[in-house]
Amino acid sequence: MNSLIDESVIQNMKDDLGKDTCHKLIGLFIEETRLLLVDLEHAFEVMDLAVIENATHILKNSAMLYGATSVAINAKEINDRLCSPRKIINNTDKQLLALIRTTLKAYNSKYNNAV
Amino acid sequence: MPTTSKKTLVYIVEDSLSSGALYSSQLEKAGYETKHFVDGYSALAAIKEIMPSVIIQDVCLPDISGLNVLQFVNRQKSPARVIIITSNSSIDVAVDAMRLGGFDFIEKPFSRERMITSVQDAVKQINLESIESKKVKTEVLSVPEISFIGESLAMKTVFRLLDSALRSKASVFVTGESGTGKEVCAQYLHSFSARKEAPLIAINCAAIPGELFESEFFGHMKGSFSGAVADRKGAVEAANGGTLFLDEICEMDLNLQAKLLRFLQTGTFTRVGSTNVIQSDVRVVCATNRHPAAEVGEGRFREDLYYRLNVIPIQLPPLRERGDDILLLANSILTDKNQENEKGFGQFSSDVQSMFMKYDWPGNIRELQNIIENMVVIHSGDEITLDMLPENFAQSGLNITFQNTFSHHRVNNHSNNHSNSHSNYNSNSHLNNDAHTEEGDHRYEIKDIIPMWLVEKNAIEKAIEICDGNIPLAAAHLGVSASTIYRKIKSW
Repeated sequence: MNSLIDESVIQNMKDDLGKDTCHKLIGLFIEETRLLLVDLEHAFEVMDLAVIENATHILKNSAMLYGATSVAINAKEINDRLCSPRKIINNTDKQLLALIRTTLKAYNSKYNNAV
Repeated sequence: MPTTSKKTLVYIVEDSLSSGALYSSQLEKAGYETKHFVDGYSALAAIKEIMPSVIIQDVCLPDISGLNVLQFVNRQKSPARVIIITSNSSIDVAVDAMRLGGFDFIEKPFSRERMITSVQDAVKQINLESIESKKVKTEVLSVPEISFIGESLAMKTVFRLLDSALRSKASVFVTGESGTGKEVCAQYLHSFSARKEAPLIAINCAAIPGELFESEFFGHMKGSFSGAVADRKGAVEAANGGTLFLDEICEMDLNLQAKLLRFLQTGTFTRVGSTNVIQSDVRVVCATNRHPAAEVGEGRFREDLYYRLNVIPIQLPPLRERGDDILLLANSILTDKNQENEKGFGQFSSDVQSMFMKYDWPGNIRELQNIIENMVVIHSGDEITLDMLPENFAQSGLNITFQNTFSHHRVNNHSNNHSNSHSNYNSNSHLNNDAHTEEGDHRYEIKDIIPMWLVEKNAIEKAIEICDGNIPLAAAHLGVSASTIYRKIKSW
């Protein structure tokens, strides 16, 4: 589960901003990602590509900033395809939802004080 | 620049709540006051009320484009410096943003250091401009003597681009033939910017051997390689706070291109033989006489570096396409050369003026300068006349218009032998202008056309031969740099 979180990113954040601020920020990240997950679940059901594009656009950056590297890479991969003129979406892209759920679980478990 | 408190106010316009909050925390830790907006309209409303010093502006927003916010800001009386933040996929938009007057752009995701360095640079520029504006006007007018002369449409476009680039830190990519004034562009951008008190460091990428380039660029530590007898700062470090001019950028080794790209992305580097990370704030201006996009296509220049550098592209027109600018420049150069050499030429004769207007100027302004200097140094009088033109100018007059004009005034007085000795050039010149020009009994046809590279090769080889193998001298007479000649020879 820990491989879902790049601990060095979190540690740098703690060193730079202090533990309290860091936990507060991670709380925001968890909350934002949870809302994006809800949007994405619905969007994948109805294949609303615009919503998927917007949500992955936010995630590819925010997840990278908060050390959720796997989510960031996956979101970027989908977003790059959706930004191309052909707007390609694959069946396997839905796996992002499961990855976000597992990652959120990992963040909640590790930083449950923050939420 | 209005602020609500002693701390510098920074607005962050970023649609991700968690990303914006992180930027805010990092900036507040660094001593700034921040406000975060998740959409464009909220930001516009706040900007109308209080203009901050710096805005960190995302391009993709849920309501309006970040470019609309940028345009709005730059229409205000005391606009904030706008740092565009963008993801890789919207790099083209970022390029447009810089053209609209953005101060810097940073690709997401970025490091804390990169963001804070950019904000610091923006604040530094605001402070410098504030100090400058308080100085007396006469000082401002007398600053550098670097000025462009030109009234042609092409040059007016160049001036407009240069002036809009002055306020920004964005990289400028100057292209144009040899001798069109690329280095002057770099001097202008430096001397009239807020960076003018810091150094302008110029590096000719074609003139530094590959194995020394990294050291020249990033510096080295004592003992890091044989010959490194002391610690030494590289150009990037020396130019801190100022401008780094990279001439003939397309000659840079691919390996070094990767290192330059990394420096441009992070603003940090390490000296050769050291692990210490050093920060340097430089504005990069680069130049080439090649077609950079073609170099990218050929795989000789990294595409990502090209887009990173080509934020504000400036294309300098060749002299032959500048119409009446030729005479404006010639008169200005004549005045300068008169002063330098204590001569009193007042003007060019109408024949010389006519020839100047018809000549092709392959060496551009540098060639024009050389020819005028040659005449001023060697001759005396009130007027520059045809007979004062240097011999090599006649010999390199490769185009038909020049040949025709010249023949009326001068060639008739020369021996036939002289004419024959340059038959190669003469035939080329005719063919370049008209594939079916008749001369005497011979009618030229398509098969007679000589490829341009061969014409150039012949001209260069002839010049080297005339100069007894002295390439720098030949280059000077041809109106190009010696490195250009070396590069051409290598390519044959």
